[in-house]
Amino acid sequence: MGNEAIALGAIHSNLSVATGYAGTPSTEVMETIIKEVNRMDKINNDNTNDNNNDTTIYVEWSTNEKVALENAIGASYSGANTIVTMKQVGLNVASDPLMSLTYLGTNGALVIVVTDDPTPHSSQTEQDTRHYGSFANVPVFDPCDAQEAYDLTKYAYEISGKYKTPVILRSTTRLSHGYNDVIIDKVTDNEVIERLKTEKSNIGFIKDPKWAIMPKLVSKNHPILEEKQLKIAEDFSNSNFNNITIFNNKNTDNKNNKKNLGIITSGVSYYYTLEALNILKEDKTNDEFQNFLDNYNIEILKISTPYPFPESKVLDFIKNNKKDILVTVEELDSVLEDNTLKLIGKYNSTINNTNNNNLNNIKFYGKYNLFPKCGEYNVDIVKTLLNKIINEDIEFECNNNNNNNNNNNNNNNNYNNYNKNKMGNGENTEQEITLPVRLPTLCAGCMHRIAFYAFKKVAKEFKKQNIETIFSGDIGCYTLGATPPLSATDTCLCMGAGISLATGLSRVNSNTKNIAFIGDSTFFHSGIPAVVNAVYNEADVTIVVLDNETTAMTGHQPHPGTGQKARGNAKVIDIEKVLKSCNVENVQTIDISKFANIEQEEVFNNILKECKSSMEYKGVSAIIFKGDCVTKKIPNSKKSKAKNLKVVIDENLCNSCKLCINEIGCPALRYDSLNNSIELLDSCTNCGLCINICPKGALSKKLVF
Amino acid sequence: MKKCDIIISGVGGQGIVLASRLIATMALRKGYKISTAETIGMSQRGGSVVSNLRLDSYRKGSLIPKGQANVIIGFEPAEAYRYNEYLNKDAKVLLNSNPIYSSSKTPENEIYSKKEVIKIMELFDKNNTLTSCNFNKMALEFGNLKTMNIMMIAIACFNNYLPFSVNELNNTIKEEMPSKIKDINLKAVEFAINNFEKYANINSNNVIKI
Repeated sequence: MGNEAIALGAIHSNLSVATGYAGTPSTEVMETIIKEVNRMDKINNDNTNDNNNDTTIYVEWSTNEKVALENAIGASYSGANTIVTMKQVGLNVASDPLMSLTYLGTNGALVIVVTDDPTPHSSQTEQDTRHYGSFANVPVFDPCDAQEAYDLTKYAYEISGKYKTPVILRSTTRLSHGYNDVIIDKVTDNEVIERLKTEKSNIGFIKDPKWAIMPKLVSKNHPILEEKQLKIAEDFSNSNFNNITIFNNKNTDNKNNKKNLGIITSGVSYYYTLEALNILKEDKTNDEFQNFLDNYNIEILKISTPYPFPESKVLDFIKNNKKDILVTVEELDSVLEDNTLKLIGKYNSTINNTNNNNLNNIKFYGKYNLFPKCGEYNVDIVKTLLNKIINEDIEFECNNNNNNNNNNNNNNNNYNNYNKNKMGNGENTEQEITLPVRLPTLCAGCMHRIAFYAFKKVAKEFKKQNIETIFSGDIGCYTLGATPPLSATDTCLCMGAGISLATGLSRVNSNTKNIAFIGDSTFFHSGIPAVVNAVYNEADVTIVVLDNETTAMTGHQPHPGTGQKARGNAKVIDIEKVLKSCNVENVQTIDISKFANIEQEEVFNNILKECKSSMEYKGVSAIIFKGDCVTKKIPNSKKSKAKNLKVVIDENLCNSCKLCINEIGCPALRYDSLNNSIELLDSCTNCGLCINICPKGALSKKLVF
Repeated sequence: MKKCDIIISGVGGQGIVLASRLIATMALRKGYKISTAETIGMSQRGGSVVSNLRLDSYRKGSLIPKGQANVIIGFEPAEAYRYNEYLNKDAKVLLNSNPIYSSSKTPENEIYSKKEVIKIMELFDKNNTLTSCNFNKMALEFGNLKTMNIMMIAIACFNNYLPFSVNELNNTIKEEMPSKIKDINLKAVEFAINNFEKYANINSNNVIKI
């Protein structure tokens, strides 16, 4: 896996400190480091579970990305080699220390692994981390497969150490979650441990005014920082990671008569480009392309270090076999494209125009006239557009809007025909097949569903008094509370925003109730300042903490409320106590373990009562729903005697009114149109929530042996 | 070595990712270059899951282009048909005929039923080389639903849908799997090969039954 390769690359570069906050698709980098440390610790016969001794890498799931980066910076100042892992939106949170850090530089190597998510598959944004490179003057590395991820990680450590600068290793979902065969260095565990010992014996913080940022220091350091970028760019130009692939055979005829096409690309787009060209080449019916191959040399330049841009390398590429056509192929933003165009402009404006060395009259294709700016690329998209270039059937409109709209439609039609039931390739259309739609949804038996349903029910009561309830959500599994039929999320923006949004909404929407849902991990990540703000400024909101005692969405990482760390145990920080110490006076905890008798009317009504009183309270109130995540392995000791109690449907009582399905959207309930009946699927966890809904009493728990 | 582009698709929780890793391990042992792409992340439990697995003598990108896949191992009929346009005309289809219904409230989900499953099988049967069995039944009768993925791989090897022999599969299980689960997997392979015709959906007269 790409993420595993990055982790091993770091461990093989004498890593001593690793911090991060979980976020798809970055999470496995840290998880791999933790796994390796645990494994080596056993070899070392050092089962003290000591997370910071001479022979182990210190690993930490931090409370948020800013904190993670600052921890690593402290270690780096002292000479330790460090890694910080996060997803792209995490870097927004950590950008404050990053922007300042570059002026001061580092001591030990500091590699920030940031994963982008074109499409996006599981993110709030499609932002392109490469921009942080030029924004913060931080070198960026951008690998194309797991092998290069390993090699480039090692190179990133080298550059970071050599130039005393933080660096960003940028990945995308396809790389992070893709697998390749990877050749890694032969480094034995003992070697890793020995190196670490040596490394750690040299670590120590040396006091120096250079570590304290001051305006005067910044103005002194800024020119040095800019100078550094030029040197690194030169290093990158000489690096083999930025390399040229000759696509078509030059031995066919005298290449001097041929024209030249150059493609500049990076990351996974490099492989899409290669394969697209190969497919076009093998298609003997494509006369235009066969013709093109006879008349053109095709060369591909892969850029693995987008910032600082390796200008000399790119310039040589354009000038050698002087390119008649240039194409940039890259996902997300036009980073390679803008830098290439800038380079050509700079070059043309500095040379003496009387000689014929200028780079005018190059046909240039990029995002401004052809390639999509949004979404993930694939071979089919690249192939279609390259074919278009070759056929020269592009109308050169610099009217971007038109073009980009077309491109994005194009893009959307090209893949993910997920919700279309038509055949994509035009064959076999004699029969329409209806395929099921599998939307992401809260798991069957998820404790969050109970909270959402309870608040929705109470909100209906307020509605009768003409009081509207606005639900603000947050980032985590419970974001899925937005999907119908629950539809219990009216706003959702970024980590920790739910509480502040609810507060803001309450200021200008009189006669409304404002509820903010926040998960346990998100609460610690960035929820607490919003709580303090709401209380101190006397807002009237209800905070609902959905505490399933884990960071569930990303695969169960620990947080300060779990009693676990990346390695070993710790003392729990109690959310209820935190809320109370922030002067939230009305705090209640509802314990919904998986085995609560939620199917009993009295139990469920009590929950509704507590939700209602919480909403009626003038001021900041909080309810903590505490329970287990159904995907977490629960120790057997917790298994209750109720395990033989199963939810069953009495078919004689059920009249298929679908109320159970339409109210809570539990994936274990399905309407079978063939038999006009409701069926209970295997995924049912027997939580019993649906029993509260059925007006006919057709749902109940029965002892099953 | 001849390239082999494999799509493995199904529903979250069926063991698709593990299946794809096992095939990748077999390919590694044979000296293939491997690229895989998997959909993981946003709550995949019960969602559509697909793994692209590419075996070749040189490195490629991990996403299979349309019309290129040589094999599809479909853990669920609709999830197999979803990737129909990715299959090339000679593609081999191994199908688990046991449908998994979705409960999200959409008109499609109320229509998707056994009728659609039969239509899907007929189309695959007409356009491709198809082996279709109820692997859920097979695994349940063997005694462990979790062995469904290994059984499908076993049949894929046995029918020459994959470039690996059953022997190579058994050796991979023996040498690469944790010892706790080795035995049950080896037995599952044997059970699948000895009994799969019993669970097949298409009889010699080409009559489809589920």
